[in-house]
Amino acid sequence: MDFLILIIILIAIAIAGILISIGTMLLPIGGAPAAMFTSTGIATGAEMMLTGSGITGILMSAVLFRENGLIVMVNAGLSSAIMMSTVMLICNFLAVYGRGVPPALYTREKDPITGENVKIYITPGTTGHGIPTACFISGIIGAFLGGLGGALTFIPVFRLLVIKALGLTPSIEAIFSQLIEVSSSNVLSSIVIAATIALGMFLINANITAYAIRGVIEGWWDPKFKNTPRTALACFLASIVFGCITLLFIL
Amino acid sequence: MEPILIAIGVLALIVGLITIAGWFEDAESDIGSQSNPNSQVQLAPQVGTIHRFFNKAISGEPVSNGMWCMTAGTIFVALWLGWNIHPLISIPLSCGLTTLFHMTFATTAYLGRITSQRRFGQPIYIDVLVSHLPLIGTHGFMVTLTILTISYIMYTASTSIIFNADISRYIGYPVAIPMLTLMLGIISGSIGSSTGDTHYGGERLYQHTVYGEGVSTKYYGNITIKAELGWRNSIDTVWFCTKYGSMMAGLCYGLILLFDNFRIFLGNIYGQVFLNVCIGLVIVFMLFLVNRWIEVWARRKFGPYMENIKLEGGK
Repeated sequence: MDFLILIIILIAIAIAGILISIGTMLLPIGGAPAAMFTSTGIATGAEMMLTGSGITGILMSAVLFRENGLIVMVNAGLSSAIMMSTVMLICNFLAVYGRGVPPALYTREKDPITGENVKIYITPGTTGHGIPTACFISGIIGAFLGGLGGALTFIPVFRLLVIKALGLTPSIEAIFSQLIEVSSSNVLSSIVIAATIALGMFLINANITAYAIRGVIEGWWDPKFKNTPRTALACFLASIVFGCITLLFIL
Repeated sequence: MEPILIAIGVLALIVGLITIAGWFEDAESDIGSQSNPNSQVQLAPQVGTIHRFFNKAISGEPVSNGMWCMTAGTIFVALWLGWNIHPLISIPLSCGLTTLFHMTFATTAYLGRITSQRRFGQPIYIDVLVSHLPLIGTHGFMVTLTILTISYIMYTASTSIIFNADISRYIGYPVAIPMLTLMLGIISGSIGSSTGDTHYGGERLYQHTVYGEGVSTKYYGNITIKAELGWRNSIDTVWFCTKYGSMMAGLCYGLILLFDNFRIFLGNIYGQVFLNVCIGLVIVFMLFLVNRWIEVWARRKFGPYMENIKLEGGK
């Protein structure tokens, strides 16, 4: 097999790692305190939320397995964004009607998007509650990047496996362009392997990023977001190692 | 029959089933105090609050749910393809076997967790264990049953011909059943853990605190242990949470699958994948607008916290 193709797949996986890492940093993660409305964000851990939204994107990539690579990536990102925005909306419904608390930010006096004074709505002894507008937008962008990263891992691995199974010659065009005349029954095993690898990518990169988040993050304005370059570099390196193992496995 | 009509029927069926899956998944985690509010149930004996809640945090909710669903999916494939048992029999059979597995984990998790709190005076209530286990098992059974059924339907829709019509163009996930159950199980756990559990952790565990404020850290561990009659247990909790928190978790999962499949569906009807992207953007924008409306409505309705604007007299 052409050495250049392997390098390009490895680079795609490494870039996916960076995208997943930045995506995780942008999610409004509240961790366990958010389940008691003690902190702003979604009431679960970074890995769990990113994996949940990323898998929605992987399912979309699996459905559109014949389409052009770029279209698949955008669609997967949007699927993740839809999943995330629905979850954030329902979180707010639960905060407002379940406990009677309005959404509020802690790290800023004013909402970075709407400019409203949001700190006055915070209950003393807590660090915010619910998902305000800025967190919502940050979460949509984060989930989109996470889904994009998942699809960027899924597509090259899946296409390489299909091309090998069909006995064709691998090329960069074949990996990222449309697949024609392939029935869904012939690609089942390739989809399972590629989805498992994408799932592994989510867990590895979200876990590394969770160490930088340390439980709670609100969005791009949070002081912890400054750790992004270092975290992205760590994810890049981890993804390269993971990509090498993946390529050894599928070749 | 027209393929498109069958596809619409399948879409309606899976959205209904997945709503039930999300609902029961969150109720199951509320009975076992699994997920993030578990930190409070775990902390309670350390601050002197002896309780009668079931306490099983086997692992993170998405991972454990993915595990149950994948176990059921694997057993189902072995029964269906290996022993040629009809899916209508092998689906409940595999879910029943998974329930035994689930209840074993719940028992060891409860006994292990409560035993570790002996030094704080927390006793193991055998009646709590015996009365809660069937409920955990039945709720877990419903989750695995619905998710496995959806996986089977979506797999069959994408790979086979149903009623002499090929609907794979419109609906279906071309993923092998064990992997699909794992993926749908992880998504369900992730939704239940992030949405429905806030009703349990934020409201039900702290009903003695003031409604209308977030739970301050000074109350941590001091959970509500008295019920309307006697001591509160996790069966009382699920009675309360299933009416709003769990229902909203189910609604959330149903909406996600509806939006996602509706997008593919419309795009494929018109043969334009680009249409998927446009519909997706419209859906995200609409969700954003609804979120903005609920935020503004809540702030106007509840007003700021009075201590924050130097007014006295509470909220």
